[in-house]
Amino acid sequence: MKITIIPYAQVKDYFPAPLEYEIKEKSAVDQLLESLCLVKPEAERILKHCRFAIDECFVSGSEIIKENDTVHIIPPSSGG
Amino acid sequence: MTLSISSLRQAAVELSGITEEPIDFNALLKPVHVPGAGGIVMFSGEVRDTHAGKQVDHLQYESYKALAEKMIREIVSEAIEKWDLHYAAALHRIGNVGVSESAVVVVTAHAHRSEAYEANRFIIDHIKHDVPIWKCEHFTDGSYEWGGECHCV
Repeated sequence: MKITIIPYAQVKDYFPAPLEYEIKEKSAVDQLLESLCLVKPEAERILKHCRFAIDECFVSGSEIIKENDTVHIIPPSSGG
Repeated sequence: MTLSISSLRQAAVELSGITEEPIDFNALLKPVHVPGAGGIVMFSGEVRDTHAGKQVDHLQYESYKALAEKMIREIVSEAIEKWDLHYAAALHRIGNVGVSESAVVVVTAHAHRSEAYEANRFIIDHIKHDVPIWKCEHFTDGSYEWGGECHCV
C-alpha cells in the first residue's frame, strides 16, 4: 500500500521530502523503519534515533500504518 | 480594558508557537505588565557567531510546524498551571536567523521572581529537548552542519 513519508532535517540528506513509499498492508512503524534502513543502510544510525508521528501525534514502533497515512520522521530536536 | 488572569493566560498561549518573522519582544512583553506580576523573566536564545571554532554566518531553522506549535502551547499551558503564572508565552522563529538575532523567546510572569525563573527554564528546556524544531548551522566558509541532540533535560 502507498503511504507518504516526510523526513526532516538531516534525514532529508538520505530521503527526499515528501516521499511516496510502498509498504506491506498492516505494517507497523518498526517495519517501516526496517525497510528504510534496508533501502538506505547509511541512514540507519540517524533513523534509529528518530521518533515517528502520524496526524500530529507521536506513535510507537507497534503502531499500525494505514493506507495513505503521512508518516513524519523526526530526528532528535535541536531548536533554541 | 484590563484582562482577567484567565483570559490573559489564554491570550498568552495563543501568542505562543512558531513564526517566520523576526520576533517582536514588545508584542510578547506588552500584555505582561499586570498589577499582580512582581517578577517578569524574558529569555532570548540568540545566534552565536562561532561554533566548534568555526565562524557562523547564520542558522537555518525548520520545524514540523503543526506539531511544534501544538507542543509549545502545551508546554506553556503546563508551566502556567504548575507555577500558577500570571502569564507565559514562547515563540520560536524558523527560517534563516542571523548572528545576534533571536531564535526563541520565552516570557514568564509571576507574583515572585523565583517561580518566574523556574517556569521560564522549564519552558525553554522542554522546547529545546522535545519540540520538533531543528537548526542547521551555516558557516562563513560555505559548509553547514545540522545541530546535535539536546541534552539539557
